[in-house]
This record gives sequence, C-alpha cells and structure tokens, in this order.
Amino acid sequence: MIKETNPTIFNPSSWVKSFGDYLFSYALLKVGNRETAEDLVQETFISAIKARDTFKGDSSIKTWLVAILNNKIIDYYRKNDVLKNASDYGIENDDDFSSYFDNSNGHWLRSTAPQDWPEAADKAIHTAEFEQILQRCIHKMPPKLIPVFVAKFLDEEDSQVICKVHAISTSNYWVMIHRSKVLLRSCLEKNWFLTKMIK
Amino acid sequence: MIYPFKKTVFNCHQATLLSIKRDEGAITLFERVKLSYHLLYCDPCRRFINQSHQLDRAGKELNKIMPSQPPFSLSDQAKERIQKIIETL
Repeated sequence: MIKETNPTIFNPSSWVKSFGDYLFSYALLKVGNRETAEDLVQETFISAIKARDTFKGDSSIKTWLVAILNNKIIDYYRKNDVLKNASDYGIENDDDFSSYFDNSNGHWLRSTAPQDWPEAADKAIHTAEFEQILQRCIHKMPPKLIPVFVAKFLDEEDSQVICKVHAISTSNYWVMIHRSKVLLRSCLEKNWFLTKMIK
Repeated sequence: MIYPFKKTVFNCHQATLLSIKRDEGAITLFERVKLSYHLLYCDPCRRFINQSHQLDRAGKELNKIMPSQPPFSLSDQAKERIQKIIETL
C-alpha cells in the first residue's frame, strides 16, 4: 500500500490506491457481500469529495473516510431492516442456536462441546486463508447478530455506544454477543482450527 | 463423562453467558462465584472462555493490521470504475 506523505492532504485521485482495499476489507467484514462492499466504498469516496469542506484536517483522511463508510454501513443495515426488531432478538426462537446446548439441561452437547485447538492456533490466525474463513463464518450467523457483533469484534466499540446505536438493551447485548461467540467459535473450529490449519 | 453434575441448575449455557458479562466487567459478585464454581468442574466451558479470548485477540489484531495489510482486495474492474468516477467529480 502506498503511504501518503502527508495524511491530511486532500488528494482524491490517490484514494483508490491508498485506501481502496482497506475500506473494502472493512466493509466486506461488516456486510458480507462483495458487490455491496464495493458499492459502499464507491459511495464513501463520492460523499467524501462532495463534503470536502467539512474535512478539517485535524484527523487523517483515512480516519475521516472510515467514519463516512461506517455511516453508510449503518444506513445499509437500516435500509435492509437488519436492525429492525433487533431488540427482540433474545426472545426469538432461534433454531440455529438452540441446537448448541441440550434443551433439557442447558449443557453442551457431545457434538458441540468445545474441543482443544492446536497450540499454533494463535499464530495461524494471521493468514489470508483464516481471514476468508472468518469472514464467511461471521456471515453465516443470523443477520441480526452481525452488526452488533462486528461493532464489538472489529471496532472494539464501547458496549454502551453499541446499545445506543443499535437500539438494544444491555441484557440483549449480552445475549447477542454470547450467541455470536458460540456460533463463530464453533464455525471456526469446524472449518479451520481442527481441519485446515497447518499443524 | 464430561458433566458429573448433569442435573445442576446452573448450566453451560448460563456459564458461557456469564463469562461474556465478566469480560466487560458487568458481572455481579454472586454471578462471579457461580461461574467460578462451574468452571471448577467444566472443561468445555473453560475451553470456550480461552478460545473466546483468543478470538478477541484475533479481532484486535485484524483491526490493527487491516490498514496496512487489507485481507481482501477490490476487483480490478471496481478499482477502475471507482477511479473514473473520482476523476469526474
């Protein structure tokens, strides 16, 4: 990636080269679809150029572009009703999740109980292949879980901010993060840590 | 046998949920004691918690390296298309 000599200089013709893949990766992890992610990057650049007067130069162009992209992603979630009724999540019957614990006593099932991962697991998560699988596992989760989970997982946003932005209660937040973690952990275990990872 | 106390009221579903609350400092003292007790005898839940933290670290790391090493790339067509649009604005 080409580094800008001055990160606050407004030079749109260098953006695709400097920030294109970064913004695209960020968007893809959040929306799970290549075409949508490409469109969001394109719209981000267009909005940024139109709003160039609001760029004060007190943050880097990159930070400013990510903020614009994030607003576009939230708009996208809203338009597609992903956030609608997210607050009901905990009450919903969720077949995807109910198969993880024994319905009668709430313990792990023999087939879902976490297994030991190979010792090299920590190092193996920095490979391109792992990130592909991570992306796919995130987007196999129920759509309503994804916005809340990625805000926590990728942006490390404060839980109170997440609850506010997504209009959910704190107890719903715990339930959603819990479900996401159970589903994602299991998907990665099956598709990566116990299968593809080079031991 | 994995669960010697299969009939205990407090179970793995609840224990893993409490571990998420604990991660964010939102756990009560009573819950903390319940969780610790459960983890004394439950290997799968201990594993879940360790791996959950491992995934948190992976997310943090990904966030940090993404600007310099983006894991995914725009297609050449998309790059060309977007570049053209930018030049006309």
